[in-house]
Amino acid sequence: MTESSTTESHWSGLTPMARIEVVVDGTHVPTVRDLLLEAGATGYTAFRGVSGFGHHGERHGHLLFNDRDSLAMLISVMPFDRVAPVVAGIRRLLDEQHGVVFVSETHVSRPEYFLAGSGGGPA
Amino acid sequence: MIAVSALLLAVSAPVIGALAAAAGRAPARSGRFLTISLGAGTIASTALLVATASASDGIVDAEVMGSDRATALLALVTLATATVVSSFATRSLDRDARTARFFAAIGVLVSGTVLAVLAVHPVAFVVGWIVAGWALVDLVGFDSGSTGAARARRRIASSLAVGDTALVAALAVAWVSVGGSPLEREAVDSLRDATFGGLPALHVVAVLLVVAALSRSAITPFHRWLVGTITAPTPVSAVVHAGFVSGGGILLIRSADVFVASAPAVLLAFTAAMLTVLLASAVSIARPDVKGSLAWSTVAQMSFMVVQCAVGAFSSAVFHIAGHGMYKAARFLGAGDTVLAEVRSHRRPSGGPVMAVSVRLMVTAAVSTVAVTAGMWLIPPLVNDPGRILIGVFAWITAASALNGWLRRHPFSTMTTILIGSASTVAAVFTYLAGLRAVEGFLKPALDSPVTAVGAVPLALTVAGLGLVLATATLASGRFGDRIRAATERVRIRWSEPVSLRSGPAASTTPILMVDVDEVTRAEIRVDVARATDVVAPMWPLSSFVAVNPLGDLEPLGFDRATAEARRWRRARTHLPLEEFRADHARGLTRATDLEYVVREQFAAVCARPPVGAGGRLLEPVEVILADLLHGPDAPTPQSPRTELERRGDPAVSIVIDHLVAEWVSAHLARAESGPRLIASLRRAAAIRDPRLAAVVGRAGMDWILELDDDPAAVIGAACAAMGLDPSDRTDEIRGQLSRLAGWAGLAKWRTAWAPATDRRPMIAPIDIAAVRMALDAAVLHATPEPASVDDVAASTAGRVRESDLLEQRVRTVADVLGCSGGAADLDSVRSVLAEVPADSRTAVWLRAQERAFDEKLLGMLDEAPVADRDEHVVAQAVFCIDVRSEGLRRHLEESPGIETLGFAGFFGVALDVRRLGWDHSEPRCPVLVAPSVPASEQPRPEALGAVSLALGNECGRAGARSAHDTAKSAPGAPFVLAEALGWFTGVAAGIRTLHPPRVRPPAPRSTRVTIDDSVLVEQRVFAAEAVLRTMGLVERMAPLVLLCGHASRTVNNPHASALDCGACGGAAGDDNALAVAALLNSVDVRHGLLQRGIEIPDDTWFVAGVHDTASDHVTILDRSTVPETHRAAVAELESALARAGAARAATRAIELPGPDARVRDRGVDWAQVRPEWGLAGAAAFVIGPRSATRGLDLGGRVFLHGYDAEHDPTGRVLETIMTAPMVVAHWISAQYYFSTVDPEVFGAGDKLMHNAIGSIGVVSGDGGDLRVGLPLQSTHVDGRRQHQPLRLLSVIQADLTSIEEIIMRHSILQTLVSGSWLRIAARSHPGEAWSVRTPDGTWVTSPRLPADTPAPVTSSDPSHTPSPDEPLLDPVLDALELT
Repeated sequence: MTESSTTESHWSGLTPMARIEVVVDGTHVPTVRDLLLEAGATGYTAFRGVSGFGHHGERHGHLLFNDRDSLAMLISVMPFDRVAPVVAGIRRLLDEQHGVVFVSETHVSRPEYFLAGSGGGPA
Repeated sequence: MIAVSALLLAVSAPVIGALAAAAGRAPARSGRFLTISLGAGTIASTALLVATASASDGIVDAEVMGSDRATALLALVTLATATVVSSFATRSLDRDARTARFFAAIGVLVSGTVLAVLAVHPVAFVVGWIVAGWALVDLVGFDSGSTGAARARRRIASSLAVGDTALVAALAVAWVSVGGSPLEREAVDSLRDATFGGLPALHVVAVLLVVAALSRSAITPFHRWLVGTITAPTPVSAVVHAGFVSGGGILLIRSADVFVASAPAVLLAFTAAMLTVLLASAVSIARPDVKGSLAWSTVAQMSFMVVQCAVGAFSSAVFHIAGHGMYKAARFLGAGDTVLAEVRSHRRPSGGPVMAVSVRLMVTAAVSTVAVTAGMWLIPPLVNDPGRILIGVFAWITAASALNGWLRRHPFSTMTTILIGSASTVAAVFTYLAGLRAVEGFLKPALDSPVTAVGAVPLALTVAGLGLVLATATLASGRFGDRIRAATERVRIRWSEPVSLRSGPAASTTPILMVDVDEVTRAEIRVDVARATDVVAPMWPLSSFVAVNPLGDLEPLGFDRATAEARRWRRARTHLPLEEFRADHARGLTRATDLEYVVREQFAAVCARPPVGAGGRLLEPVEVILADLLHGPDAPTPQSPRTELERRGDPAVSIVIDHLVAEWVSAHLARAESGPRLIASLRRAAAIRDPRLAAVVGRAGMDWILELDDDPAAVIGAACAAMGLDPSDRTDEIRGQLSRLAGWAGLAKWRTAWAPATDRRPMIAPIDIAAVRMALDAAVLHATPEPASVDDVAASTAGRVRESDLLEQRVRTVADVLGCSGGAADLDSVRSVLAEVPADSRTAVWLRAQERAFDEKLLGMLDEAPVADRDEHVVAQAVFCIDVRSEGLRRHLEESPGIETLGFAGFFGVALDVRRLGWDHSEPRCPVLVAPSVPASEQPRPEALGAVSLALGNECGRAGARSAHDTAKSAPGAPFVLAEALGWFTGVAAGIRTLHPPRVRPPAPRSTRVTIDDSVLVEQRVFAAEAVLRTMGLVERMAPLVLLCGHASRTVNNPHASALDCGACGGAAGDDNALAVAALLNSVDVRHGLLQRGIEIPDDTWFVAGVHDTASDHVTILDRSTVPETHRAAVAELESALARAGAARAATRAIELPGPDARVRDRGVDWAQVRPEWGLAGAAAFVIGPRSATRGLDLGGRVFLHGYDAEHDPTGRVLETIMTAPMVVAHWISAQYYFSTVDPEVFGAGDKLMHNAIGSIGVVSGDGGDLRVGLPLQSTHVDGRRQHQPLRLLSVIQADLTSIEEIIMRHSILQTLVSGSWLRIAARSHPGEAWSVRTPDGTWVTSPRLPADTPAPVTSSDPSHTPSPDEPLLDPVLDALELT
């Protein structure tokens, strides 16, 4: 945490953090959610019913009366040192399930907002 | 003379009943014979009571038998309760070969009990006493299949045997010493002077009698047997708790003179009973299951009865036996209502928050204590001895706790509370004491004899005991609290739970190494657990049962592989046994052609081989396979080990661990508030040194458990290390762990993945259960040195040997059948074919063949659907749920002219979140696949304000009464007087409910309305309305009256009630949705918005909401009071058409359901009825198409009907919605029924009469263990026969094949279901076109009939099993419902 909050960049005044995006079957959302929260993420955003195209062909999006059986995307931001367990877990999940995970660097204006134990921590 | 005849009839009636029940050839009659005989006995004992009441000395004497007022009263209560229980059991027990024996055993038990009450001659008394005990042992072994029952039976037999021996010894000693019987008053004087073997005979006899009494009444040290009786069907518990178990009290009352004269006997009885009162009350409160709690409460009640005897208050004891007996019988028989009661207490009417004990309550308590104490001194006739004071104290405690409970729901001002509280408490206590006094005055000859032998000792001990409890309670909240609590808990567990494992790993003291588990590994473990949960299905709490595919998460593997996994991990049957398929075949559910077609399809390569020579002729391979299918031996269910401990340890240890973890999970979930995770329960058990834990894991194990991390993933990591498990085996180990507690794991899966965020139940996740269970296994294994490898090799070799043995048996059987059992060459020929047909693929062939027969039948019927002209004069349209139960009602309704019906998911397309009047929370009313997104609430209709507030007031009153009862029931010391006082009322009520069950009334119209909240914008409402109408296909030709008819099943005493409600409403009634959507579509704003979007609702069209009670087939229009004048006549006409249709459907159901036809509509309100309706049993197909495709056909209530017209769906969006939601839900329901039918023990919930509810969560069978999942046996079977034909769902779609295929390809869920053979799709674009069936590999095959050039079926030559193909096929659609 000290590392992330002290690193200065040309994004003046912003703090670099890790951004994790996961696309999985809607049925696996609870598993990914647990991984994120247990690793110390203070929150996440989920989109259900996302559509796309990939190894398993076209995947259709939103259904009128079925929120679960479509793809879902979860996005979360956390300090770099929290990423390893999340990625390890998702890798294990994707051994058997289709889906993708992206990890990238992002910049946030309120770093304390993404640190577990500070106000916005997991319930 | 009359009195003596009554006496003799009272004794002989149950004996005659038992004999008649045993002799009754038709099982149905056994119950009736017994009920009538017991009823005659009841009348006789009433006459006896009258006779004793009119005799001046209160005595009726007939040499061997005799009675006074006390015993006449006890005989009356015993016989009356038994009559009620027998009548209850007659309706609730399935009729099979065991029924007659069951009723005979009940008859014997009652005969024995009555004989022990009324016998004067000691031999007759002993015979009655012992015979009743034997009958009980027989009844508990009734469910001989379960190991729990076998254990319970042994424990009961040995406990009772000690008592029997003591009783015989007591009578023998009395006879030898003085030649008399201790049941006679005169005996005491001669006994006083006699000695036996140098000991005072009086004391020897009295102490032996006390031992017998303690044993019969389950008082320490014999307390453990009683809880074992809950492994028997509910009526057994009722009859045991109502009469049998009071035997100890009856013995003490009947030998009162000898008993009170012996100080050692009184002290022994008093001490044992006092100790038991304290401990059993604590156990009863700690038990989360309703039957366990009731059973332990009986132990406490019996101890209270013995305390009453020990202080000389025998008449109070008689009153207690009678009152408590009736109370407990009623509680057991009505135990199925707890789920609903729990749900109701959560949905409490607002009227103030739940109040804690406050200062004013304490003041009330103080005032009433002073008043009661003063009263006791001032009114000596009421209180003339220490025993009465003791009972007065208990009465006061009861009144105070009930008051406390009442005030929680009805808070008053401080002054009112104190005044009303003190007055009512004092009044209650003195009314009770006066009543007791009256009983005492009535009972003649006078029973009560102050205990002169020990004087004030019992009283002193009582005071000391109460002081001890108070002191403990005070200390428990103070400095030494934890230690004292731990010690009490340990004592309670050691006292109440048998610790049967004596030897084993407990000896090991080598410390277990604790390893640290890093975060990356923990994350991987979390995912492993998520993957391992694929072998269990989520289990919804019974407050809202949702049917799911029990193999839901295995769906991606396809049906065949998924079922193989289920057989491996769940040790389940996944198909009917061969024998049952063959019986179905004999009944015509499959034809020889179906079987042959499927064999050729599944084993094309083998069938294409040239014929093999055997027995001097040539055999087609297909002939060999068919002979195996029809005659070959079945394959056993695999039993390979699932966990490391199963592989290496003692199976008994694994069972003990299952029970421990199940107990912690249920206790964890029974808590009102969420607290620490489950792992805390494990650590707590180790901290208090729970003796059962100590026996399993030993000291070293417990020390290791205390060191475990809070994070369950870390616990699993540590357990893996302790077991020496390779990380690659971790997922399978967890799978095995969860498979052993699949019910609780399923509930945890629901809790984490499906429960609404607002659910208030404590958190539990599958990882918690896996971690706790695995930690225990690891601690055991650590001390189990033996390596596994040798066993593994042996086991796998044994598995192969069994498989090859089976093949040999199959080969020989087939060779025999085909008449070529000659030489080795013949066998080789047969073997060469059968070796290509795996043993467990045969049931899959049979299943396919049954499905093929069904498909041809149904599609053939649809081809012949009468073509009806469009009725241009439609006066009303009625929209029903797609539920198969709507089919019959719709068919009959359409017989009325001018009425059209439509099928649509019963939530009517709006995912409501409803807050009912008086609720402080909202509940979803939509399929579980969607999140409730539209808030709605219930308000009173302005014109019905008075009625609504009255109803709410009544509801508050009932809530208050329930709260008063429940508080008194669980407050220390309060249940005793509560039970004996309430029993007289609940007992009589239970009798009326059973002997004269109520008639059902149609659901009442609602005096409230349900509307979507104002926060939902008009645009959103218009969008919702448009989606509803388009998906429903109701966009033109709207009739002047449109009924939206939801459904609900009103049943009582039924934990699985919600399984009969609307699946599309998430296991709830559909009336709220009907009301809200009808109001939505009548709204002017919405109609205006719809017009802009191209849908015109004519001005003269009015929507009404209705509800179909599927248990009674009454349909009620809920909002008729708001119907405009113009539509009143049409509504009245529709109502009478609905009434006719309901009656017609009920008439059909009367044939399908067992029992008297005349009462078919009243089954739901009969509390003894375990099968109120058939629910969705029989469901087999889902038709998506216009009603014209099915109208006029009798589909036997086996088909879901979803309206769909491709003409109105150019984009295919509507079809996509139907296929991805209602069709998926229909598949879930079909799969739930399929698996609950093929394995009622693993995938089904088993017998309802064994069910033991845990709050509103679910049921376990008997005394604890795993949560039961799926549908109860009574939903799928009747009298030992299958009611449901287990088939996978056939989905029939009338739409363009290309659109259907495109939709399938767009959605992985549909690919999974269709390509994995979970459901079949048959389709045609237009009526008149041939049906095409989609094969799992994605091609469409037109007409699944046998090709014309196929040779005649080879098996048709076997007349014993196969009907000729020309014979008319028994109609499975119509006839499967009357399987013989």
